[in-house]
Amino acid sequence: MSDFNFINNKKSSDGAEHIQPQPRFPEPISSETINNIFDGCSDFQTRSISPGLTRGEKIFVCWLDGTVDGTAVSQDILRPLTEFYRTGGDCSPEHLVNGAVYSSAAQMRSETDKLVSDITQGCAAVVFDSAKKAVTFEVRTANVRSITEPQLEKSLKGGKDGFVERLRINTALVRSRICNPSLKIKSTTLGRKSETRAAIMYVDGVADPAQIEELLRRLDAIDVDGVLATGNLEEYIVDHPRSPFPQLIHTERPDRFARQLLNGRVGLIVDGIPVAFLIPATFAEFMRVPQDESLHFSIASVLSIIRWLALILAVLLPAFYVAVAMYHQEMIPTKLLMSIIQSKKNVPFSTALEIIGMLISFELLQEASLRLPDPIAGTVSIIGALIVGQSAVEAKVISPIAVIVVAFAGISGYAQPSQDLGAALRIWRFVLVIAAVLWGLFGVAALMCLMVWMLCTMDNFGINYTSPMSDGRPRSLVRTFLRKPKPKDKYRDEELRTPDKRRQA
Amino acid sequence: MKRCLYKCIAPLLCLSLLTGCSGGGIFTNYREVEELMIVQTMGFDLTPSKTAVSISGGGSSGEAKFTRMFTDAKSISGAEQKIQDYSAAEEIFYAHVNYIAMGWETAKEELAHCLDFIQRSPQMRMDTPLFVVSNGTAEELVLGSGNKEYDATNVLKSLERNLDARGDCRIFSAKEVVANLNKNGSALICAVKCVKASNALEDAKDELTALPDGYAVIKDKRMIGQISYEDALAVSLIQNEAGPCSITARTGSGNATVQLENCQCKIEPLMNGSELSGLKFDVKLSASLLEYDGRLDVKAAEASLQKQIETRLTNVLNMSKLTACDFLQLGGILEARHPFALAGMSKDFQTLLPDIYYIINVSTDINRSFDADLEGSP
Repeated sequence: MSDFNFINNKKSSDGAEHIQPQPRFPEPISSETINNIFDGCSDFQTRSISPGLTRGEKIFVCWLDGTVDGTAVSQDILRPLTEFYRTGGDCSPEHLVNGAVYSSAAQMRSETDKLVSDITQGCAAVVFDSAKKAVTFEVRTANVRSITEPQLEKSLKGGKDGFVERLRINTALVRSRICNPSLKIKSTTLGRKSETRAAIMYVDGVADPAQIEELLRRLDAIDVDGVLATGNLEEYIVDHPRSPFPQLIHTERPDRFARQLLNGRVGLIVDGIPVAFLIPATFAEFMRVPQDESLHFSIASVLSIIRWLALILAVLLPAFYVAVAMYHQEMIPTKLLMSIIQSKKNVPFSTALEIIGMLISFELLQEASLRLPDPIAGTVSIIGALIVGQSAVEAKVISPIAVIVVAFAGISGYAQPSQDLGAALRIWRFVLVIAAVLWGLFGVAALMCLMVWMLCTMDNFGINYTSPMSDGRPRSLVRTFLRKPKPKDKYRDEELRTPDKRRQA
Repeated sequence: MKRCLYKCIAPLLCLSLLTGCSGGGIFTNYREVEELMIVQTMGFDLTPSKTAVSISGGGSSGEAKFTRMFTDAKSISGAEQKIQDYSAAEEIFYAHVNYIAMGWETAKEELAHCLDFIQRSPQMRMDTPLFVVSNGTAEELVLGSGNKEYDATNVLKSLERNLDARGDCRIFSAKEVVANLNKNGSALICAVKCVKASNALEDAKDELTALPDGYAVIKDKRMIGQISYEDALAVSLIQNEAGPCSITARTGSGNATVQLENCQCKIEPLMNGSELSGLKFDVKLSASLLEYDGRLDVKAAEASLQKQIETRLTNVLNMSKLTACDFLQLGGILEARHPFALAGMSKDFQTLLPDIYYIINVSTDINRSFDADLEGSP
């Protein structure tokens, strides 16, 4: 059991003082104080016992039901405690900490704040009224979700374990891959009310110390009631919270997380969230998949190029179609133009309305599928895509070419390894289509310039978001799209500014 | 402050791309594709008093019908406008014109007008192939070719594909014609003749089709003569662009038809001091035997083929000499291959052309092919 920095001395980003008084519970430790604090908490369990049946001597044991293992409390704390005092042991907290009970993790607490925090984190506490101290034992319940295969980041040849909701299990999963004391874990708590535990992980000597410090500083500046979802955290620690582009790498794979730590990135795991974060994130990193590491470099490189092409199609295809169909028909090959004309005959809507309508329908279908249970979601997709789509085409409400363009762009969007990046691209897809409607290819070109400029000006923990593409070195550019053979890949990514540059001899 | 400045300037720079769209500039381009009638073949029949334009387009596969239109006006633009006025619902769209045909008289008298229009038109493409109808007007070709299922575009596309495959006659684009005219005042345009398709097609009625008919020779933006389709191969040979076309050679007791495999033509300048006095053409041909009748004599076939090629080359070169017209672009070829030989000449190649003599050496080699047993042949 580690000491979490729960004493909150944080300041908000504008420098204003934290309005919560410190310490929160200034009263000395006593059973009455604890009872008062947890008053109204029906899961708060207490037991007052006389150790060794000694008259006048009473100790107070308390825990939160459900968060601790009842059997462990009885077997590992109450039973040895009673036996210890029966054999004439001294009834003091020091003796308890020194081994009177069997629990592996025991902490002496003399401040009520720390004691309350331990109890809420799943510890059982033995309170000594006379000494105004307490001893807490880590007896968390084992009722957690088992380690299962990640749902989003599947791998054919990689590990099959994924992160779970428990912080300590997740750190252990990473530790099992980097069995070296240079893997450091710094702990902190987030959320004024939730007091969510979080761990910053990095490989000492490999990660940039400035990035570790910066991450700690930003986490420390978060002053919210609770951190219960990824979004609660992400928008507070990224450099450009208004940008739709993802700025934290998410992964639910411990192997990917460990590899990125070895590459020089800094990791963040939050209790209750089965996804780990990595900083700094670059655009190119979102185009990589863990599978690449398991494949032959030539195959991985080809797949990488296909993903980049899919990215271009996902963003530009609908806008490009709208622009050329509305303004630049001379750019379309004659045969294709004739086919388009044929397919659009008798369709009552303009090209712009068709594409925007189809894009909105596509988003609606996607949202509907996400909200429904799997079997129904499948049915909705079939009804939406096949029946409604086909009927709309046959009824000449929309043209087949519009369906093809939107579907192709959608499929290309799904080819993106990062769902967050895919979501950002979907927004830009709409914006580009509107620009194409208004100004044709000139508008698309202008918006693309603007988008590239925005990406190029984004810094992420001191690293340019478009690195290594924007480094100006051809080798870096090649590295973005292709994967080197592993024996030749001797150096860590330059943009990460790792103190130790080499990853192999 | 600096960062803020960049944030203001960069979007403005991006938006500067849209300056052409101000005042609704881009919206004049706006049209829905389904409202377009795509013109794919255009014909010009221009005389000093009348300008006739014929178009063919629309249609493709399925239910679409081909549209053929013809009108005359004082100018090509006027004719286009008139055609648009006659068109009921669709906008006539000229950006996909794939072929341009001109009548024989137009090529003689008004070629400059046609080329000028093609260059100036914002919709026409300079890489559009040009044709001259040797036995009539462009209108006959554009309106008369094809039927309900195909039109002049299909006819000319088929012709283009066939000539490309055979390599015995080239189709020059407007860009090439204009470039050649600008370079030495002469150029070639592929000539076609309109014939009734029923000559070969059993199902055909009155529709016309186009057959290759050599080249129209252009000098100073006027047609001055024609090279026959038979002699057209010589042009391809000189320009090292001859393809696998077939030639029938007389062998004494019968005919042998061969397919050209490899053709090389070396042109050497023959100098008299620092002046160019003649040109030597070394042509090497290898061909494979396709068919023969009677008793095959390979030597005789080679000799016959050699003579045929020599004759064709001589015909074309003599025409160039007589008309003082470098439509074969020999000056350009020599300039590229022997830049030093021509550097010190007092006159340009075009001026020297009537006075220079030619030496033509043709060597032919007919290969055995398809396992034909030539020794044991009857």
